[in-house]
Amino acid sequence: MFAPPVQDLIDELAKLPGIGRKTAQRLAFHLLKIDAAAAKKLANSIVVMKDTVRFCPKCFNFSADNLCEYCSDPRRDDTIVCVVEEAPDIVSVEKTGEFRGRYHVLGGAISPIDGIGPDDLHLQELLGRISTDGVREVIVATNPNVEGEATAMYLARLLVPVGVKVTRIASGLPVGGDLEYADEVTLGRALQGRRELGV
Amino acid sequence: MEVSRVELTNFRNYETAAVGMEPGFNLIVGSNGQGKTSLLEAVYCLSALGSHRAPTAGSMIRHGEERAFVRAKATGAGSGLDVDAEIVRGGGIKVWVNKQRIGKGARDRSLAAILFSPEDLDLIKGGPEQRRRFLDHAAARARPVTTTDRQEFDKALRQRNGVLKAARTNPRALKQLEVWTEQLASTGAAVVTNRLRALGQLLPEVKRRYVDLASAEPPELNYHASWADEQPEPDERAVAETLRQRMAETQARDLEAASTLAGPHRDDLVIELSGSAARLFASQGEQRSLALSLRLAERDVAARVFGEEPILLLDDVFSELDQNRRDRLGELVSTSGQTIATATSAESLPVKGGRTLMVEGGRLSEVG
Repeated sequence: MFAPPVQDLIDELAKLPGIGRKTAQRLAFHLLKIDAAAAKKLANSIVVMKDTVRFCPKCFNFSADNLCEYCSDPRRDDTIVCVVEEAPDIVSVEKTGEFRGRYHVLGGAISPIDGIGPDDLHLQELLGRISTDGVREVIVATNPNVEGEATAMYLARLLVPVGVKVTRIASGLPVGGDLEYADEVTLGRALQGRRELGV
Repeated sequence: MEVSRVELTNFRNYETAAVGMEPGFNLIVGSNGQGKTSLLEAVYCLSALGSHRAPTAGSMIRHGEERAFVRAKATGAGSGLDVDAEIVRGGGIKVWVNKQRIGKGARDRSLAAILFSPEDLDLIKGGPEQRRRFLDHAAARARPVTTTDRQEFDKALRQRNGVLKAARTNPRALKQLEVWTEQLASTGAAVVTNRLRALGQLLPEVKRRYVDLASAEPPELNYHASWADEQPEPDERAVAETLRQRMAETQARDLEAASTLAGPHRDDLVIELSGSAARLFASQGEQRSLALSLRLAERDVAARVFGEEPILLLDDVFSELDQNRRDRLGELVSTSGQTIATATSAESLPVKGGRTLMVEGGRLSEVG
């Protein structure tokens, strides 16, 4: 056991995702050593973030203003929406530079064993955007696992009947890499999902 | 595939031990509890990256120690393999081949061994899960993607059962039943197709091995699908369609039971001798010969995948067979690849030549 203030901090840090007891201790001892100004800056940035960052009322991305930067950008295409599980996924899609439409964050994937059903995701809000924004295509970019696939299928059953084109991102090999170094499962799935070449 | 040297440190009851192996037949003799099976286990864990008899790798560590090491020199596909394994209490097993860390999927680069142990009698006598796992393992050896198929199916099954349970108290949960039924049908179809393909490869070998070993009529092996009236064909699309239909029909009963009643998780590999279920009607000797035939067939199929025969590990098998079967097994191991076998005594063993090692209290010595 450490002095109570140190122990309190360790306990709080250990609650963070990906942080175990040992890492929490290491972080706490590091923070003990840095000067007071740096510690205040860290503490303050957490408080400011909690006070100012909200969820965008339209797409549920993080947002400092009312609408998030993607929803408020007039140059983006309203008719195509990329659906992701969590807000950080937007950053990944955005980095590709391949997408100039709008986003929609579901807030997870359906997973009955974790008690997450369709009603716990931002699906009604997405449905609402279809008619108000004139959405023609929804790209489902949920994770390539069982929950992500089930969510994608649920979305398709919800959206196709109202006349929206629903597409799913492909899965396969990392580009620019060697086949030699691809793991067996990814390469196996890529073979199963092969496409025919024209001439 | 042959192992020429095995070194153990803090492995089970071995403090340190080193032993050389012959390319052909190797016999380890000793009384019960001296470390015969542990030596086989050490070789096996380099191939399976885990123990055949303990749920956690930590059980293989000597009492009071934190780490165990197994090192082996082997020859595979004409080139030398230096295999190193480190087992850490609470941390599992790590294996390096020629200094390169290998994972479970990297089948072509690790040491290959097939083990037959007395517990394998459960392949015949035990519940269906043992036989499903046998097929799943055989499938995974040839095609690593099948392991992921099985994991995805298990997940989809848990999720669908989660919906069925939730629906008892919250009817709104039913909204997602359909998509989970669909996930279960598509992942389940992959699992079933993998098993049927594996069975197709194993079947002729199992029959041949059993006829050789027992000089009797060959057994019949059929995949009994809990969701179809006949053995399905290995056609993924057709299997998915049948699963889908079947789950739609039994949905009401599934809801009542809060569990998916029929599916690949309830299937069985039914083995018959002269038209009767071997699980119930075969004699102990017949069951043992059948179990051994399944493992030998697994080795035959693996040999085609790897391009050479995996090392055969036989734990205490000779004493349980009658003289005729013992002789036939002796012929088999003298003519094909490397075998490491254990026995309580070297007497009346039908194998001539090879190396005999004596183990006593975790110490190995060569006999004559």
